[in-house]
Amino acid sequence: MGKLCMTLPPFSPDYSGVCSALFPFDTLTVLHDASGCTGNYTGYDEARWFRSRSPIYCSGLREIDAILGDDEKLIQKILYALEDIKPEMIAVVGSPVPMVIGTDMEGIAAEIENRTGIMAVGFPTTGIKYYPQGIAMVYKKVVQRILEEDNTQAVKEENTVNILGATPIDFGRSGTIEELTKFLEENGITVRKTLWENVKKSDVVQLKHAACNIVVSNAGIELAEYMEKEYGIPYVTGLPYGEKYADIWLAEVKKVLTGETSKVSSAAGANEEVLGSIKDSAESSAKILILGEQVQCNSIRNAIFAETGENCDVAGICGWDNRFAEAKDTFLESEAEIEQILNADKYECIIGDPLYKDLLHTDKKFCVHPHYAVSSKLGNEETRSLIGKKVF
Amino acid sequence: MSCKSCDAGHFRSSLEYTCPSHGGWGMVRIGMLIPESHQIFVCPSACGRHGALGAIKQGLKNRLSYLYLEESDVISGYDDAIYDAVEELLVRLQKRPKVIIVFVSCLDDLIGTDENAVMAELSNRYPDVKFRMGHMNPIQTDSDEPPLVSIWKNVYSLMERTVDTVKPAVNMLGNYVAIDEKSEFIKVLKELGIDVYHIENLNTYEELKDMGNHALNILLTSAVEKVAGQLEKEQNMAYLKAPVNYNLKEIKAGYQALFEKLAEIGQLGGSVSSERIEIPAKVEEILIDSEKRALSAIQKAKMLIGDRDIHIDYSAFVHPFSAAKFFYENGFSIKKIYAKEMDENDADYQWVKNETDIEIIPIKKHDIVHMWKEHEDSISIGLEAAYVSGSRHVVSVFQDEKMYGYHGICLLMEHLINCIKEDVDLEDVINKAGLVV
Repeated sequence: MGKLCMTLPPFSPDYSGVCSALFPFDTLTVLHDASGCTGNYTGYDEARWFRSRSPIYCSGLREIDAILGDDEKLIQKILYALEDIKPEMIAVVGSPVPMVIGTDMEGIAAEIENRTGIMAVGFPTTGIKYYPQGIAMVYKKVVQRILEEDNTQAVKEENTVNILGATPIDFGRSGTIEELTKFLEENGITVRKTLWENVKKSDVVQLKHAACNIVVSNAGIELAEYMEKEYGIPYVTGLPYGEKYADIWLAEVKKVLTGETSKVSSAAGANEEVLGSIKDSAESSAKILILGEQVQCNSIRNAIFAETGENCDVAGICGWDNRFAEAKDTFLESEAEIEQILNADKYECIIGDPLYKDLLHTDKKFCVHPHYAVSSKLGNEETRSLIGKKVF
Repeated sequence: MSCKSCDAGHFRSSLEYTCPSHGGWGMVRIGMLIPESHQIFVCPSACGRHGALGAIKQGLKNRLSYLYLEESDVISGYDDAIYDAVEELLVRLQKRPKVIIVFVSCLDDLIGTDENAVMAELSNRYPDVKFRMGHMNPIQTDSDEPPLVSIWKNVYSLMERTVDTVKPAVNMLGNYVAIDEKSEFIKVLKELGIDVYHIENLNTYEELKDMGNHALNILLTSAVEKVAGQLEKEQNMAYLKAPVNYNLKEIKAGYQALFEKLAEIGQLGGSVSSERIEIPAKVEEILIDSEKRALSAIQKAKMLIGDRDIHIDYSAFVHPFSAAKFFYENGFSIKKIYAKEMDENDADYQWVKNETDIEIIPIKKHDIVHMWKEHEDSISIGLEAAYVSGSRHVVSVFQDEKMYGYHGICLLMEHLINCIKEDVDLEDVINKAGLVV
């Protein structure tokens, strides 16, 4: 997000993405900050925090430590905590101050691993970037590393999938991931692992035995591509939103499970044979704008198209991949850009987080689809799963 | 499960756990007490998220803006970006604010923005607007000017003495919410012809400015001592430290100190002699009656609560060890104090530690994740205590809010009695509290 921002709250930052993705792991996670950054994550970016016992901590960084570059103090606090907490892994996560003073988060992690013998990972997050980068960082530095260090052969199990890219920062308390799992299981597909619930290192190596990866957010793409390259596991992006599109999406998954190549189910042209030519309809001006996480927005678009034949434009925040975008889709980088597109005359209906309503200059039809990275728990009451259900 | 650090009897520096119940008003909400003000945070976007969402909850977001910094801004400095943002802000705001606080975050302490120069330039460009530089910098928590001290300084330094003869009024400083209007403190001062002011009740910046013309600042917390000292030095504003206390003797002594101070500054009419301060009979009557009410409230609460365990925390009470002493000495079954920090020089802390079996638990220590929901039948005063203890009966108060003097005891007892009437949905209570870390 660029420059002056007068209406919207700042969106979930990269370090929250790291902590959220690490939450299910048996990890002692330390956010290297004074307190506010940890408060962002625990207070507003982690829908699972209440009654959880995940050992995610603040380092209690103080000015004198920053000035002296006293990394040993942090290391000693972690060693002290290890007297009571017995994790499989340790993570040290950066914030704005470590960025400014150039703290070597990866170096600190290496030192901790060397002293304790416990796998330790450093994340050079800054609080300037957004949560998808943080989630992707965990997949790259933790999941890929565990997979690479495992020497066992990948043995594909038929009709099994992993769910990648699921964190509450995208799905909040909507129940979407739980319902996705149920939907797949009801249709004869076993979900091997979801990087969402409690997982051990030994569970992570099981990821490579799945026949297909389901990628439910932008943040999961990189890991899916890695697993396709290393283990030959194809992937399908998107979610079975809507009544009609759920069946179409399921058919795509089944095709991939029986040997077809990966399906980026929301990319331009990818669904032409089942959905008709979205690309052609895109030439005529869409009247609906969907604003939010790109993979979810694409799935909502497909669901609406399947139900009504009406096309929508998608605008993304925080993370974006042009490969999954239609011609008129766009990535928004400031509140001014969001305000401009929301108020564009051509859009008669907006689908997005309720806080975007405050940027509308005139009355428009507004369908609420809360995005936890924007409104956090303020959107809890309006959030719902769209799996297999009429979207709007 | 017991907590090692408590057995060790000290608060060793450790990784800090953040319970869902953790937090307070935050810099934004405190700064928003300034009427007709606007805040602009100049920081990486992440630093503003909790404050912004808290402000939306409190209905304050329309007075809060952000200028997000990129890495390049951090490298090259952002003074000019602040000037541009303030200019744009003043153009776009529908109502011109009387005060603007430009907040910076922790990283600014390390890159050294020349705040005096920035404030001078902004004041020069916009002479009709008062500017203050705010610091949301918990990295300074251990310094002599932590964020809470800094924000109160910004708020109260806007008071301005413009008259030679002060008004017969006192300002209550350092408490977030005004004390209860039924308090005997207000009645006593009214009887003495003195009005009581709190910033929460103001509507305009002019009213805040005018508080500088009042006779006395009464400090309820140590966080306002710095600004009070500055106001005394620069503007000759008298002050009196008078923190919340639940000990009856201390309350009585507090009133005596107040009367002495009022006499010293010439606000006690003609009834002052060098030997003794004579208080009007009506005032004596109010105080005696209020003390009786407090004693009666304690007896009633004890009867209804019985031996039920009580856990308290630092979020409910500014001085939790003093509050614990009150409960202990009055026969309540006070069992645990959840504290964020302790001061070895605090006599109440030493008393609790050495003279009682009350358990002192460092709420932020890493092993707190192992110890919760073990005391569902207890009463918790404060949300941190409630979360860790798992109490079904909870008093949700923050920093002694509304409680002061004898009437404060009555309110506290009323809270206790009410909380045992129903089980609480703690998550809902925490969400509604709108806490900000």
